[in-house]
Amino acid sequence: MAFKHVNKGVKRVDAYEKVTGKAKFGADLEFANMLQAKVLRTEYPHAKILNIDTSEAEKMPGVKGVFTARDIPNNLFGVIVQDQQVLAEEKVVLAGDGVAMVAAESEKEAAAAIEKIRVDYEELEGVFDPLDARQEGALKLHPEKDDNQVIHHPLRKGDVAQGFAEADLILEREYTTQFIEHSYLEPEAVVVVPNEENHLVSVYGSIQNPYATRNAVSSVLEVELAEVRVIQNHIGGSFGGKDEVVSAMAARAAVMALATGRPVKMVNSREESFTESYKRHPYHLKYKLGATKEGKLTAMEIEAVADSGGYACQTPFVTWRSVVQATGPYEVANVKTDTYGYYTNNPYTGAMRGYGSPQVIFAQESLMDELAEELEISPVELRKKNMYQQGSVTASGQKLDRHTVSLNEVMNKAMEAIDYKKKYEQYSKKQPGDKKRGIGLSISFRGCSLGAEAIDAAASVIQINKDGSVAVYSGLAENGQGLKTIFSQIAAEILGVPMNEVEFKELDTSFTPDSGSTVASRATLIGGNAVKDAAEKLKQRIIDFSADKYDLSAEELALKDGFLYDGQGNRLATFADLTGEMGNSGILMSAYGWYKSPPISWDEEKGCGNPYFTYVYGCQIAEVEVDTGTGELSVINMAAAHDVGRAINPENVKGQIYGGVMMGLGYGIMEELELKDGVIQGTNFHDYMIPTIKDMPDIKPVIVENPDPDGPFGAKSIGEPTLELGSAAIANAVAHASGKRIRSLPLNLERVLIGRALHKGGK
Amino acid sequence: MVEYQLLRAHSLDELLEILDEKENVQILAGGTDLMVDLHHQDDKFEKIDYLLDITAVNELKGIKLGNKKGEIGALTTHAELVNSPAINEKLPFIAAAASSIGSTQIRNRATIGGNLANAAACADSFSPLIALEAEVVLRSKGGARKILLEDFVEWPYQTIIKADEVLEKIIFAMPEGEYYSSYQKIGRRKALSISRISLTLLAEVENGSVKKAQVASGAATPFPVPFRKVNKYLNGKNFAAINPVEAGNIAADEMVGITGERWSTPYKRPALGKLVERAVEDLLEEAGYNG
Amino acid sequence: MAKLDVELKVNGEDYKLQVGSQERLLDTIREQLKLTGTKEGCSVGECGACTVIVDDQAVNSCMVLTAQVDGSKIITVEGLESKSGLHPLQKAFIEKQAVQCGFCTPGMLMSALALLNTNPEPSKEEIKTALEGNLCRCTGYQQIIDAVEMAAEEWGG
Repeated sequence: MAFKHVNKGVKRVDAYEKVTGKAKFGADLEFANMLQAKVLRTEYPHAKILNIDTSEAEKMPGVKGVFTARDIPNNLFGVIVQDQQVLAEEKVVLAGDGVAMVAAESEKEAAAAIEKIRVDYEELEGVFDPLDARQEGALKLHPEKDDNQVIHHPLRKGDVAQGFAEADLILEREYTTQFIEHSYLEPEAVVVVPNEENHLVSVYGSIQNPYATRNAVSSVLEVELAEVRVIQNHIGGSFGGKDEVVSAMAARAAVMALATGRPVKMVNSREESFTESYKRHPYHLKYKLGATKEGKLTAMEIEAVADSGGYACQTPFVTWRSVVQATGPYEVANVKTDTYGYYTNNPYTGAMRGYGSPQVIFAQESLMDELAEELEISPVELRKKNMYQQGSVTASGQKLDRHTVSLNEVMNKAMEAIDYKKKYEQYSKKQPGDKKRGIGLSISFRGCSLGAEAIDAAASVIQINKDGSVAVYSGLAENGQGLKTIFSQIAAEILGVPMNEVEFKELDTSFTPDSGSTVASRATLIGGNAVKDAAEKLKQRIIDFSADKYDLSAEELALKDGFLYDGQGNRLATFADLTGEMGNSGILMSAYGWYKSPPISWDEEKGCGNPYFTYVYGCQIAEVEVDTGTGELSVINMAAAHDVGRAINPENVKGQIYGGVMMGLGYGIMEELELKDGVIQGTNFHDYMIPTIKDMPDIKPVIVENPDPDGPFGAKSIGEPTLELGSAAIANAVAHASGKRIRSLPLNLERVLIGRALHKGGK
Repeated sequence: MVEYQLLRAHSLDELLEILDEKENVQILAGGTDLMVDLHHQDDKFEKIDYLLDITAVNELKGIKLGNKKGEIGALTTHAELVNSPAINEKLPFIAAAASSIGSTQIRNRATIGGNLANAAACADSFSPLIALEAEVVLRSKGGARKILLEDFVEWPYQTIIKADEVLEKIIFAMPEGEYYSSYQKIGRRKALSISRISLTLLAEVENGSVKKAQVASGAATPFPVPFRKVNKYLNGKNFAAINPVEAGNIAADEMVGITGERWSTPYKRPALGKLVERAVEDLLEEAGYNG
Repeated sequence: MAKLDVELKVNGEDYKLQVGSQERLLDTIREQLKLTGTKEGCSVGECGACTVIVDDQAVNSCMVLTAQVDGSKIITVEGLESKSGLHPLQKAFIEKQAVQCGFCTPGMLMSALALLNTNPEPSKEEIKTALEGNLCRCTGYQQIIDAVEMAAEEWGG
């Protein structure tokens, strides 16, 4: 199939605004008569609030209002469990909980007034490790609940006792992963304008999920959804991170905007962002694996314990993705998996690119290499013996026959791209000197979109104007990933118009239907189908009109390059004239598009079913140099092969791969949010280090295309798969180079040199 | 809330006059440390009534390397050190240290004098200059005094500069005859990285032996010091008698002798030993000794 | 607190401004001149989103008090596009897909401009050094390097 716009590396439609500085981000927005607001956050991870005295703050210059939980109509919100406080009322459960806020004429005045608020606390004992939180008799953090457990997802398949009995070798290993900061370059910012254009409140800002934020604001204000409008356009990165934290911010600003009758702007400093935002879940992972001496896996028993921090947030769904992916892409007859989330007094944890997969993949792909070493089989051979093939049945009992299972292809292509075999052999030999090289790989399968978490549907609206220009609206949001461009390409392809005729508009919840959240690498797959649906409806209308007008059959007509063609390749009309004529004839030249995913299923008791309607497959390989004298680790080369179904925009896909590989590298070797009794040690980028341009390896992206029957033009997902594989590949490469297996992330200087982490003030 | 009056000096005389006249003056140079403190509304501003910007004082700028003596003006930026042909030719370890600091934007603003006067334990400018046995010239309206750089820092972030003094320049004797140097640094990433440990070795050699060695380290000790025991081990030694591993062990022991066993010692002891070992190996190799 | 008088030339325009003693160049650019293309990402000189060019050098505008650069020539991202169109660097960033969320982009462009102004034919390593103070969380940097290389070729002729 020859495409005109799809499958091409067309330029981003939002790039002009971004390279000229014209793109307005949250902090750049200004409204007449606007106030600025600041929040007072607690330093205590667990404490009772005895009294809040705001009297001094109220007298400060410029102050227009000081607010506490008592001013919030409905103080609890949450996407899954409504346990998150807009402002802490009786108790703070994490260091960073907001307790009061001030709206003032300027940011400086608001900040000065915040200093004058006096809060009396009674400090409470805290729980800072989910392994402590799960103990019987542990201090309960949310008194209304039975215990500290947020969620437990079991999965049972076959009989693990039988499976281990059949094994020649049983390995038991434990792995741990760390808290991670999303580190989007733009700190959170919102502006709420009261009583604007027939809305009680309009919310602007760095919002990842406009509908989730609208839900939160309407529920906190106790007003109807129709009274709250969220407008989203440019956002400085999110990676799952600008959901609940921004919803809380929007809700606070909305309360203040209504109370003062003036627009209220809130912009976090980087320190405030670190303190208040949710993080990636740290996991404790226990794996027990049985295999025959030939390398056939017979049983896997897994326990994964996630730290949910002070609130449930997205822990129930994050740990659910873990339960589906915990065995990796391997056929194992007997599986027992339990994933858990527990409340602690640590910072709360939520969605972050990968969403419960990077943790289990680090463990399970490290373990596969450990098994290969024990069995004296190559890591590639062991994987190939056990990995999913076409028609394989997963741990949850799903038969993979609706799409192409391409593990073998991605693995071979990644190996070829980095010259794996030669390097593996070379680095397996004894190496002189302190600097040793190694190469390691990891593979994964990943369910696309939400799966059985929730109803999975999205909408779009396309409007053709009388001059033939096309406006596209979507309920899913541009987060920097390139959605505006991808959706414009899809519309242009179907309607047969040049890209410059298509304009992607900002997202306005009052105009476009609720399409759920822009998460789970679902935008191209679900939202792309919705755009395609709207475009096809309009195309059908145009063709029907033309068939009538030119007395030709619909099959003979085609829309291409902004013209209507007949079967002989003759131009009959321009797209603009044709659609203009249709509009003037009273034909509706707008259409709603809608897409709902194919059926899926999940039995929560047994952990079985068809949790996702399709999957993507990936393989990443890392080549490293380990300085065994200093613990320094250089990732020199990486190959990343990902089956995306169809690349709507290959250059964009490469951008996702480069970015995801680097985020995975940061996760693997340097990033770690250090906590001391629940308090973050270092809340800016000099303490929390993310990879710089100098840390970049030579990255070889490999796009594999096996079109999916359900994807738009066959497209599936790319955003998240790119970052879930790197840490395991790097850990395997380090073990290959140095002979030392590191089972905790990140692989920092201390772990590489002396095998354990050191902490300031530690023993 | 931070409040101060901002002053700007346009000449050394004006600068010294202000320091003489006013109290509670904080000098502002490149600003890459002080602006961070300002952002954090640091308590140190409680004692600051005047912030004195000296970036326009041209007398404090410039690099002069003669045959016998060298001097670097306090306002010399790290970028100027990195780009100076004379520094790269004669004292490449200074360029190496400067290039490892911060980022291009930081190096364009941050000054060597500021790095010394701020006196962080991890400051990268110290070890090359201590290896040179450099002195700092502290000038006040009443005159100037010279202090050995290794005596300049009393404690992290605490120097012996008096309230009416400014760090004018760094002066040193140029290494003599045949000399080699090595600068080593371990950071947690490859740019924008604070030193975990840094190290300079500078050695004058003659007739197959070390005439005079100076090893100094950054971030290994609370404030930078020369490693006298390593220097003693290397001084006067024939190349054949030098064991790099032994030199490393001596340095590691000396470091722990200064710091005591700290939380970071299990890492820093072997890592510092390894850096010294590598620096000594570099020296032997560059001096043409092949074991 | 008394304000200080400063004169700046920003993107070719002369300004006479009054600035506070704690006012950073970043504040002046964003709040007084309303040039919001320059971004605030960390306020401590670590992320480079606020990079502008001061007298031909890339500088973190959060690390400088405006009074310190009195009399200077400043270029911000808004100064790149001219009547004759986009700057070669801007064109290359669009062409090579070097932009994702776009928040680091203005700072990246400024660091790249400072590099190409002094070194029209940079090596890959020199490009990396010029951009090492600009964090990006989206792109993984590769397409940014590609863009600077392309601009260097086009611009240098």
